[in-house]
Amino acid sequence: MTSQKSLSINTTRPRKAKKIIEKLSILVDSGISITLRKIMDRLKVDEKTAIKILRNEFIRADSKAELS
Amino acid sequence: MIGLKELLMMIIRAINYSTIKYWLLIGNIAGFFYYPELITRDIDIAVLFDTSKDIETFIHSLENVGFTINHEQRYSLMSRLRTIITVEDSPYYIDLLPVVHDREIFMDVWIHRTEEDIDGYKLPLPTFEYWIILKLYAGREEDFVVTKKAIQHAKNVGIKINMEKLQKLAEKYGIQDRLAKILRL
Repeated sequence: MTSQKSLSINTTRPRKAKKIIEKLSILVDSGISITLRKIMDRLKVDEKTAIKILRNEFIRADSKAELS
Repeated sequence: MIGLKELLMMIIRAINYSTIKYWLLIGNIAGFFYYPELITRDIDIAVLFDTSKDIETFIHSLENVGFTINHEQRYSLMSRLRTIITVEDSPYYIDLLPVVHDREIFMDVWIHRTEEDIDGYKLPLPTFEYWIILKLYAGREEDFVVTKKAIQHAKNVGIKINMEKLQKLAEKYGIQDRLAKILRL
């Protein structure tokens, strides 16, 4: 009950921004690192190239979504 | 690799060092504060360049914190166009969205923003209701599902949503049908 009450106080106000951003970053970065390793292995490229390939794909996919 | 947090801090620093007054972190990173199942690959920033000085100081700040701004990006920013900003060592990117036509809704969100402090820098975010309205306003089909899930998550964990305010905002911006759609999805 107490935790529900404190959550409802949160209502629409985000808190502890740094911790929240850190949590998100850990989640996303760990997944991306695996993908990067796969790209490096399969395409036999270095990390910089793998990062570029992945980022370009993200940008391409996002711009496609915006158009659809 | 430059991770998501590091890239976010770079852009927050750049904006804070510039003369930009009106900006907001929007999109899925802002949404993560309310719905922690959201995953993203980009950092969406809405910015109102009030004067050309805002753009000039921003470009200067971007370069100072480590971004390389090429001629095309510089032109895009000066023209107040959507600009993708990247750094070589990061798979993520910044989707910088200058406010031109949607000034009214942007200012509405900005006035009602919530401001966080992150390592001494200001981080302005939309409130949950305004985050929902921005998603609906954007009108992307996939955003409707995400928004619906975020509302459901909030209800499940006991976070109150001001539905009356949501309805009023939806009416104000002519997106009642979109709000109705996600509420019955």
